[in-house]
Amino acid sequence: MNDDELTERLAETLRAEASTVTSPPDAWERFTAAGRVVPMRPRRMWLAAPAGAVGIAAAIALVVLLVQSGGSTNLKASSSAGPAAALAPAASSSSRAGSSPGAGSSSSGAGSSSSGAVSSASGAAVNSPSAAGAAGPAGFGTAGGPGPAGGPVPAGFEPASVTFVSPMDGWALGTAPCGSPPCTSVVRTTDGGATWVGIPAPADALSEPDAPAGVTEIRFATPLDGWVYGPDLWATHDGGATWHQVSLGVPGPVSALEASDGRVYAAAFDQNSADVQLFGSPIGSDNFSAVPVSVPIGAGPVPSTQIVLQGSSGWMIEIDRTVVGGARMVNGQWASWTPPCATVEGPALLAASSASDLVAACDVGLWGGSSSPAERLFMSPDGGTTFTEAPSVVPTGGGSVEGIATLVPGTIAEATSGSLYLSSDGGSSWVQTSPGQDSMWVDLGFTTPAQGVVVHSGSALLMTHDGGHTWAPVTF
Amino acid sequence: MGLADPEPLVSPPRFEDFYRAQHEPMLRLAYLLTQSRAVAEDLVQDSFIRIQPRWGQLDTPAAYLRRTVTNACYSYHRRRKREEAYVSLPPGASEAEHDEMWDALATLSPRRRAALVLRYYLDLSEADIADALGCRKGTVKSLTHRALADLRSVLEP
Repeated sequence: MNDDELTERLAETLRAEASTVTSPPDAWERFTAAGRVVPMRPRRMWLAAPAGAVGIAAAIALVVLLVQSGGSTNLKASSSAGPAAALAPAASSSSRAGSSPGAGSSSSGAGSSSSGAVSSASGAAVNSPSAAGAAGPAGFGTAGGPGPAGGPVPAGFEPASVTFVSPMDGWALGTAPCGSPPCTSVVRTTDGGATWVGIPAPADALSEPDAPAGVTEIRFATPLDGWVYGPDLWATHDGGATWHQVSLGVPGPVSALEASDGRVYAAAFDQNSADVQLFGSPIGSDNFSAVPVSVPIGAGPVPSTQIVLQGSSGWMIEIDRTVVGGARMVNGQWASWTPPCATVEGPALLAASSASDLVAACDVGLWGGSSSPAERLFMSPDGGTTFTEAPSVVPTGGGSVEGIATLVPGTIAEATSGSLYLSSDGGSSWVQTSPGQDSMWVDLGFTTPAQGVVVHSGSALLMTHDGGHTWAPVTF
Repeated sequence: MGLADPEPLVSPPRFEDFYRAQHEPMLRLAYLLTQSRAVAEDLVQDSFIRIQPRWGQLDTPAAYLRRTVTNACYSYHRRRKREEAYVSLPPGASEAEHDEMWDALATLSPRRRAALVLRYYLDLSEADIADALGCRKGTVKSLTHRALADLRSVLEP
């Protein structure tokens, strides 16, 4: 059965089943008779309860989040975003959260993320592109280095998220058919993607970022320290040999996570305050403490967060349909920040190649406004204090931007729901660098100005070694 | 005619008319999402009750209602899961005969099933599905992709 046959059969079944349900002639009378008192199943009280609150939309969003998160555990967030960025290498990445899909990072929400692919670096080396991370404590890049030995990659492995800490060392989170769910898998390369081994994975289902539970994204900071998150949060400090669940201490989903410069930052929705709260911890421990800056979640139905880090600089942006707010880190200190595109009635996706070179792809007018909707690129030479708009509209291939990354100032890679694009002139012109296809890209990012990765969600992990001009799938 | 008339000739739409027009479509949507007529009726009723106080302030009441119903159905599944120990509400199970596809749909996560229903029954755009589900557009794509893969694995083991 091909896809068309499958969806046609599905549509037929849905139509046939729907037609068996009809509204009784006295439905309205019953409604008025019942009054507001409700009905049949009083235990549904959560429905009514929050409604009083302020914006209904907000209430709904909160309810959804609350319920989704199931209460417990940690926070996780939503959206996400971000990419990883940070890291090291020069690269950056982006991802987005919100709306657009992918882009960012991941976190939350929807999309997926993109994020970062690369992530970060470790402590050491961060800011030095050439070192790419290297230096980390453990000697990156050395095959046979730290972490579990690993076994075969599970048959049928489908990647969902990717992270690299150096040109050699990378991990992908995904799923493979298995007998007893969750069938979440983690694979690792120590030779730049040429060969991969399967390593232990958290016992949590691969999910969607704004689902009530599960995980969506993977990030490592060093060959030993890594996280799998969205909305749940898991950490490893032994290279993935063992994973444990981490709580940030607020009741809500983890929406974004990135590491850089020896620290990891996670964003979570604090359902008590209705703020997005950032937490930071040294990468080698799980001592998360709240960063004294918070951003409103927003009143839309689907909050998401993106974090982008570059060394000891960083940006956090909260999207809830439109840009809600943000925060910026300078020399390791976070403070509030007015993000770009706060008034464009659409979401934004950030990427950075250094502490000063920041770009934002904004889906202008997606949720209203006067101008016709278009994806526009804004560039900042001063780390997000001022922005200038690129001369031309960003190509979207009929879809929306799901991820951006900047390799060096002026060179920007972009993933849209149609295909991948590259601009080498600050967004004036774009070249399509992958076949057009209806796809979802996650974790677009660069480990060095030449080497980058992106996940074609559910099907392939692509790498480039020529700065994003050509991409080829890796073989697991 | 009317464009410039200071006073509208048409009175604002009545909630009753809205209810009558939307009740059956919403009932059908809720049935596809929950696979239970009784639960669908209940959730749709609740959704109308919930929306009524805001009637008149909504720019797009139909879309708002759709989102409310979808959320209610989705949340119903979450709640049911938690309450399973106490209450048993077999969705769909005891109702008439259904085809293989319907049974396969029952095995999907509520969210993935919702993505398929909104896409292949209501023919909504990605943006509208994202709005109804309260997720990002990119998530819609991955939900749909994974849901179809789930269906295929059930139908063609």
